[in-house]
Amino acid sequence: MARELLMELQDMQINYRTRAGRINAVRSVSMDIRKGEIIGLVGESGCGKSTLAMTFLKLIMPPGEIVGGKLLYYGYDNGEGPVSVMELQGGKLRRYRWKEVSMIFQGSMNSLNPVMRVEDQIIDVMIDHDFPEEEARTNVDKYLSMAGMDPSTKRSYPHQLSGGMKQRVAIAIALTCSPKLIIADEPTTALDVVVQKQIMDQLKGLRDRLGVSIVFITHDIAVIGSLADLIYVMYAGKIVESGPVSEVCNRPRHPYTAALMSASPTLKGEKKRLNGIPGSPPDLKQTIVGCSFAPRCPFAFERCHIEEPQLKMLEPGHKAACFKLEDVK
Amino acid sequence: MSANGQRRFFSSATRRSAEAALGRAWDSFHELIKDWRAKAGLTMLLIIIGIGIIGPFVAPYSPFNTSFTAWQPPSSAHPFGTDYIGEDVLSWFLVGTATSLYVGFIIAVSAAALGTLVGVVAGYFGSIVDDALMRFVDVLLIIPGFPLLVILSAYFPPTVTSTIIILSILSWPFLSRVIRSQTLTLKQRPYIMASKLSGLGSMRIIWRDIIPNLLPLIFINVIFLVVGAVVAQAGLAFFGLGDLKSVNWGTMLYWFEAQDGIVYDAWWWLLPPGFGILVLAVGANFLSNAVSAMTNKTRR
Amino acid sequence: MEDEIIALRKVTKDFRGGSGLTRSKQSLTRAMDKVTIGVKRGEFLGLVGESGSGKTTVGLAMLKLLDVDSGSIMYEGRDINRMSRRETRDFRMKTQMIFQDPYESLNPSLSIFKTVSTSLDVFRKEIDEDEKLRIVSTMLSILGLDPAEDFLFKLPRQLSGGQRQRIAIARAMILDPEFIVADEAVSMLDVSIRADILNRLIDLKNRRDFSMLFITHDIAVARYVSDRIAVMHLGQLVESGEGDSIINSPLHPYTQILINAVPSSEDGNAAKLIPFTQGDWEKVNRGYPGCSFVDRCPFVMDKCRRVRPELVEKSPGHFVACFLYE
Repeated sequence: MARELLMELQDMQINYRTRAGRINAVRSVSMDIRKGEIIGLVGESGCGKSTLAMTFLKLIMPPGEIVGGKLLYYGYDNGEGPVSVMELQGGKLRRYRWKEVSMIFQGSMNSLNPVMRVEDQIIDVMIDHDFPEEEARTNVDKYLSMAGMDPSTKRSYPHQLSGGMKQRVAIAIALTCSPKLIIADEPTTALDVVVQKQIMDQLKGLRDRLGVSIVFITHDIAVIGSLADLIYVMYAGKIVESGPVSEVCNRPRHPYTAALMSASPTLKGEKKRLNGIPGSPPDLKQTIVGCSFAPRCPFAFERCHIEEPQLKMLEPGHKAACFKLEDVK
Repeated sequence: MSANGQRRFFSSATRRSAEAALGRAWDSFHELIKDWRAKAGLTMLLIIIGIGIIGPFVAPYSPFNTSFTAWQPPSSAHPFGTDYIGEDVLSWFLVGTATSLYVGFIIAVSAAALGTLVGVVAGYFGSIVDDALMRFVDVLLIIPGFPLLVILSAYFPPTVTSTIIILSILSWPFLSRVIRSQTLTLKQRPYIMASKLSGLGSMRIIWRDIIPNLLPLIFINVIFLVVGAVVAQAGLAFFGLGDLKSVNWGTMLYWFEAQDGIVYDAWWWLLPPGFGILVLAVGANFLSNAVSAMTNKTRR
Repeated sequence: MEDEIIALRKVTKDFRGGSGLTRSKQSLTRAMDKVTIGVKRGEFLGLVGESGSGKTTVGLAMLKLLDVDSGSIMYEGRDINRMSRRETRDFRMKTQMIFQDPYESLNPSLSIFKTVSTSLDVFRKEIDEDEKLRIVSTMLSILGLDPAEDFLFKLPRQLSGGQRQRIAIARAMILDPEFIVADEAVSMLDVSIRADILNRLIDLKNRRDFSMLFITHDIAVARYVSDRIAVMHLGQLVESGEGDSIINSPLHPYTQILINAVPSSEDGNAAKLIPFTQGDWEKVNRGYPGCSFVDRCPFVMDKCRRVRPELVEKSPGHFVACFLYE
């Protein structure tokens, strides 16, 4: 169980400055990522999960700005202790990106260069990261097959490939520098369900074979239920519940997680009436007083509207931020 | 509810819907104005338009008053100096701006109306209608504009009206192309199909769903058409093919050149119309850059 | 069948791909291949399939928004392609559609009231504005936009995606249509909003009695809203039947794979029904004389490539087109 710590996110806070005001996209998020772990980060649109994804690669650009918190990376091989990612600059930052942590972007199948062959795109990334061209060229096949592609497709242009194949190319590109952590931001959202399943199996296989850690970001809690080891549920810029998949999915403790679960139709068991969540997420431009979910929560009481609940350990590894749970104890 | 009350309710629902649409235009304007290019462009255009509107009323003399000494450089009596027969250049400029803008505006509006009509009809109905209209437009587009103007002006007596008609005819084909391609895009939107499903006829779909969403594009093109028309008008007059009795920027340039203003070093005579054209053109470009930046940002 | 409100009989539709110089016979896509499908009166029929399976084409054909190449489409016993002007007008009044993208399906410059009352303006000219306001407000409230006054005179861009989709549904429902096609109507919405909208559609059906073709790629959503489910694969209808029957005992290999691939949070290690080939799932060819599934099917037989299997009734109401069941 006690896997080695790879990355530690402490109390991260990120704002966007817009003309309409400051948006508190990420309001204090802490997260531990261990070696070889698949972490599922679930949240609905606008909850800040994509912003958080960018943070791991230090990709937050103005108008976004990090206003607080730390990101510590423990994975350097040379025995270097924890390195603060936010302080990386220049060549060191460039090597950190992709050699330590890489990313599969949302809709990354559309981020491929349409006029370059697949193999050249993979080689380019490697040359950018100081691999000799010869070595890069000989390794293309390896990375493509790691991503589940027939290496003979390397001479293709992106438009000749299907959506799932393009997504696999993106995975191959993410693998090129043998990173220890891959951030996957909604990598299967635009794909058909069978292809989605294949891609997820592929990612799981990569973890099993290479020991790479994966942060899998999605809006669909069901998707990571079958993939992740740990789940973090994000709402309005905060983590409201986290824990092992089996715990969180089978015994969701935070009302929001429970509501998400009972709002998703399933194929198993009796056909039950789904419960929508009334209202909509809070406006992150406003200062939120109390629990951000309180206005939509069926269990909210007075305290929820005044005071903000903190994440509390319920069982080993399972945390939730809700006053209702504290009262039970 | 009484019939009267009902009528009041009726008008209020329609009015409030219209207010909502106006509110949208107002919001877009506010958004636009935040861009410095929009501010600068709008200021430049408003200065020229302001001169055009109040100019004729504040002109110190009649432009045709020849009682002053010729070739005077700027002085307190004649801030912009006088021309070759002693007319006040400031008065020429103030009255000329009004004429140039007025003619430019009429040309732009008529060209925009015709261009929008043809573009929308061709784009929306497609097939044979589209082919026929666009081939006609292509013919007009490949005719080299200025030489044609020169030839036409040689046959028809150059008057302000003939200038308006000729420039209008030459200006609309390009706009109709732009409008057509945007209509083709809008036509694909699901809300058009939804309107069809709701039983709306083609004309009402064009009126409700297409034209309102073309307005920003039309607006930008009208600005450019005005500028284009003012410049073309000046060009025609400069070559002596406009109505030389008319007072406008073009005739100012024409007389400057014809009477060897350059020999007399009469820069004060050249600069006012020159700057007028420059400010108008730069202002229009600034404004249109700002508008296209905004529409690209807020697409959808 | 007698109780079908709308029915396709062996309908085929080809799309010719490419244009101009690249136009050629090769790029012919058969979006519907002899599709026979009917929606019963008062029924929600879920039409499931991956992208490119032709499910949207079926919806468009049912609403007479598409010319088909062969086959017939009957609405209440009349061929919709042989309707008179009056009948067409009547058909338009009684049928409607809900689109996928709530950001594209509303005219950005029309107020919500104007958008929703469109059909009233066309078909119910006799009612005054006051009455229209009342009808529109009621519909908005039913769909969860309450109080309606807060929304009537807003523009689409002032609303969230979920609210816009409610508006789109209100527009479709305003004339009490008999038949609605919903094309991926909830696929762009967040889970919490989606559940509420699905519930309201189901409640509306119980209240107003209409039929719906519910097109979706998500078989779990189809199961939730639909009475019956039909599965399409590359233009061919491969299976149809009662929702529970399809989900609990899928027959066609494609349906089995589809159900198998749906991720489930309660899952853990679900037993795989049948394995499918890795990698080249998306590389399929169209235009075989036989079954459309041959390139992907783990059980493919020689016969499948040559002959097209017909839909056969395996158990009451459960049809499948596959030689494994003959």
